[in-house]
Amino acid sequence: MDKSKIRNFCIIAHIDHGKSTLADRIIEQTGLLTSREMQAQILDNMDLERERGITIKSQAVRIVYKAKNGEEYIFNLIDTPGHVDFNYEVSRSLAACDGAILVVDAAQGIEAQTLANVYLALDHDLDVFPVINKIDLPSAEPQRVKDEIEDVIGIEAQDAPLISAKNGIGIEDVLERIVTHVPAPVGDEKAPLKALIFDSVYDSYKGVIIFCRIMDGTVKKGTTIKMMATGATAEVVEVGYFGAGQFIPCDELAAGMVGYITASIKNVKDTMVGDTVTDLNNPCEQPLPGYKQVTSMVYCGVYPADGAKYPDLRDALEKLQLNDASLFYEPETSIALGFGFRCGFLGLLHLEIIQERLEREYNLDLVTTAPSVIYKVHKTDGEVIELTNPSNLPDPSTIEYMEEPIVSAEIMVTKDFVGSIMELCQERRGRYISMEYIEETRALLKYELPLNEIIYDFFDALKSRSRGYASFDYELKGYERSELVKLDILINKETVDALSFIVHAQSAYERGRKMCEKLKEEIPRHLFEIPIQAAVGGKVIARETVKAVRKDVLAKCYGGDISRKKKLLEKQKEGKKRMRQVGNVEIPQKAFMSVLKLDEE
Amino acid sequence: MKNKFALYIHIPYCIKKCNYCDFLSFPGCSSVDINRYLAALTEEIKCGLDFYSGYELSSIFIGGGTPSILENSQLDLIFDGLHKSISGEIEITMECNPGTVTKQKAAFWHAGGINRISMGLQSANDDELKMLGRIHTYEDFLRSWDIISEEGFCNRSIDLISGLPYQTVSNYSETLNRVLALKPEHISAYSLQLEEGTPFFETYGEDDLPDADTDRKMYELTDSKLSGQGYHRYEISNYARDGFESIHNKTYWQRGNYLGVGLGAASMMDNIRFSNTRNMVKYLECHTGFVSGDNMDTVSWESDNLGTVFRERYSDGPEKLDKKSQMEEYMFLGLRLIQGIDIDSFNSEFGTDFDTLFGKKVKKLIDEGFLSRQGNRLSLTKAGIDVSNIILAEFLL
Repeated sequence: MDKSKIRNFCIIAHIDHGKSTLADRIIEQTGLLTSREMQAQILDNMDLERERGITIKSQAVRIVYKAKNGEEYIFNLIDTPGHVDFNYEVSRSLAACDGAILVVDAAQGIEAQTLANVYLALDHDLDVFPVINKIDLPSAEPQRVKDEIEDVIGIEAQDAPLISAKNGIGIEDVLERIVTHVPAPVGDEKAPLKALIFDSVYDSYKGVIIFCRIMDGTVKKGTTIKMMATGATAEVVEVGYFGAGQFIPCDELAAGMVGYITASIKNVKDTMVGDTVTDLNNPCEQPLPGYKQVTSMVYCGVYPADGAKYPDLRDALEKLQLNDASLFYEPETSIALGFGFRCGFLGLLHLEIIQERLEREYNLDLVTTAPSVIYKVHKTDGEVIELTNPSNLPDPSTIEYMEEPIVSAEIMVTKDFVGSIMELCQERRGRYISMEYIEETRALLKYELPLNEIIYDFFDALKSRSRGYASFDYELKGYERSELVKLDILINKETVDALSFIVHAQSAYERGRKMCEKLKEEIPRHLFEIPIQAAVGGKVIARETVKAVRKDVLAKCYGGDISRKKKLLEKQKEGKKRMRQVGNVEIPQKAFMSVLKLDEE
Repeated sequence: MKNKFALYIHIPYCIKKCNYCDFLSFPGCSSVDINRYLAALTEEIKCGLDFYSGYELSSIFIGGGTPSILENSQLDLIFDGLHKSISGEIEITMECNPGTVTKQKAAFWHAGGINRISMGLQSANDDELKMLGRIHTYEDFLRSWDIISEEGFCNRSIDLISGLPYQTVSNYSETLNRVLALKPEHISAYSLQLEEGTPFFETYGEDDLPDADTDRKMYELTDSKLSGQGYHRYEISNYARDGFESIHNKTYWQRGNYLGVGLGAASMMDNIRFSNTRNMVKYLECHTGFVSGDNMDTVSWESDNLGTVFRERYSDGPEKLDKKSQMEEYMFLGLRLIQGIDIDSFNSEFGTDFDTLFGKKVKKLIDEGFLSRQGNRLSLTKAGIDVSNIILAEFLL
């Protein structure tokens, strides 16, 4: 294979700016696929992703393009996730590319996320060329967007193709530009094997399928490969490339190519994204730079609604983890919720996705506790605990101090909403860093924010306070000492462990009060009065009461129509089934997520 | 001893449908329609009584709708079919609505064997009556009441509803006073339920109804005023002077047999529940095809034939109640009676041990003060009655 005829690239875009649609058009117009074969959006093959309009797992597709110069080119289009939770995965996908297409919405212009990903691409020395999409929209302002791209990002944009991916306008231009603007890969086929893993999936027949970009050397059936970071070794069973929607085996993958390797590997944990694949018998000297162990940012307790389903939940998590090395879980028990798992996620979106997959694909009814970040607890005896479950906080008298994770956040917002967004950041204990106007009407705000202030509903608050005009990106900055306390919730005088959470001392009263109010709404009246209390260190700081039912009587039970009466009682009983019994009190499952909704009003 | 059963006869006609009513009834029908219905109904009564000729009638209740709108000649059709099945003095109730009672009618009812009148008053306040969509005033009611009293009815019941939109405790108290002054033998005191599909449901919401405290005061007032005037509460919503508890209604709570005839009427005979169709056209059609006489001997309630014979007639069922359902019903119906249920009877009827089934729950509810157990009797306490829906749901297995 002639390396000069290969183009490895990705598409960078903000959500909804048309990445998947453009990918579809590119695949369509390269002619490898008939329209009939096209799924609506080929790269997004999980239902969930389609519904959310985002791409979660990176995938790749190999296509053949016959350019205007008469030559045939191999295009490897590598898809990248579009959410901040998956930043690391994005960076590894970018590292597998030589160039990137930047898709910008002709009406909306650059968003924070676009910017973050472009910078990431430039950091990886990718050649980025812009494409202005949705030019057929009445509100399209291609010239303004071009100027913005040049001003803000500093890349040439005046000759950017003006396209409508949706209506197939200008796609040819994009294809030609891939040939001319994305550099051909470099690399030495004769050198020892050096390949970058940018994704891997588990297949029940083939085992783990490694998605990789070959930087140097070649790999073929029979090669004994070694993953340099994890140390795992295996003998290659098959190599190949990615047809649209299918794997197409080939004899070998050589430097510059993108493809897959299978080697009867049982666990995706052996093939971590970012790791370097080399030949065990002829290893390269240095692994590729940039490998990071993925760490969970957000933790929460996941419990089966029906305690008897615990083994089902365990099996489901096991299966999900086969495909998602970034999912962490370990068993835990809660007094209120019984047996379950403490799960770690890359972020709140990742958490929601896993939760939805468990419920949808594995048909499980779940109770999840409020998400928590990892706190560092420095004890007086010098020990440092990484706390993922608030109810495990040691006795306050043994704690010297605590630290919480802080993120650097960039928020892009139109002028009119700068005030309300700054207010939001203040409320969330944000530290103002800077603000610059990237154009007349839009500002880029930089803040440092505690992660625990943004994992709940920050994104929603941001959207609602800016009427959808703010976009947001963050990365972990480090840990800082902070005045943190554990807020306990007592229902009918009993502490409900699953409702405890860590909060900044100054917000404890406010949060406690709101929590009690929320729980008062969520917990149905019982035959007795139920006090709901919020306490810090054993001291009650807020209280609400769920009054006892005083009258619930079906006074009109006429005639012989007993079945109707029975249905009513059955409904009453059914309602109870969806509750968790804590002491004498039945708590609805959704109450355990109440803490997430404290700022809803 | 013969098996007994109660007979319910449904007359689904009214002059006007009340705003809160979700019973199966049709306002303003012509006498032609009514006569056609009565033809089908009398046929059904005949067949039903034939089919259960081995059983003894224990009570009859003619309900509605408004049975009292029927002319004497129309009612006569029904009486005719009943007479030969009645032996001895049994309770025969007719529901009446004020404004539809005349001296001639009342005399005819009395002569025809009706010995109990259930009068739908609902409220003694004219504004409230108007809101309810009743066709009568309190004055109209009094005239009707005098007529039935003069015609010699000495087992008279009055229906009341509390918790009406914007009703005050003092308004309701006045209604109770007025009713008590009439010294009825029996009072049914319900509280309003907003039923879907009624004008009330469309018009009123939570905010229009008396708040929980007011509602509760009315409910307590009923109990205290009535108890003070020689009435005893024998069921959650029913009060009677000694000797005047409704035999018919108790059949429902005690899970006795009852046969419902007429549109949409529900039955339970020998632990099989079934209901007539609620579709008038269907009802009128199928009475002609109703199998009667000799054929019936070959039909067993247990057999599949049942389906073919009754498929057309019954919209629901027949459903043979399994033991679990029977036990559940025994509890949630029986506990509506103030005397409660008899644990020994439960054990012998179902050949099971009550305490194994319910012991733990019952103990908890006794400790919490919602149930009381004296010897073999288990009953709701006053606190238990107040929250009976929650308590009764505990007995679903």
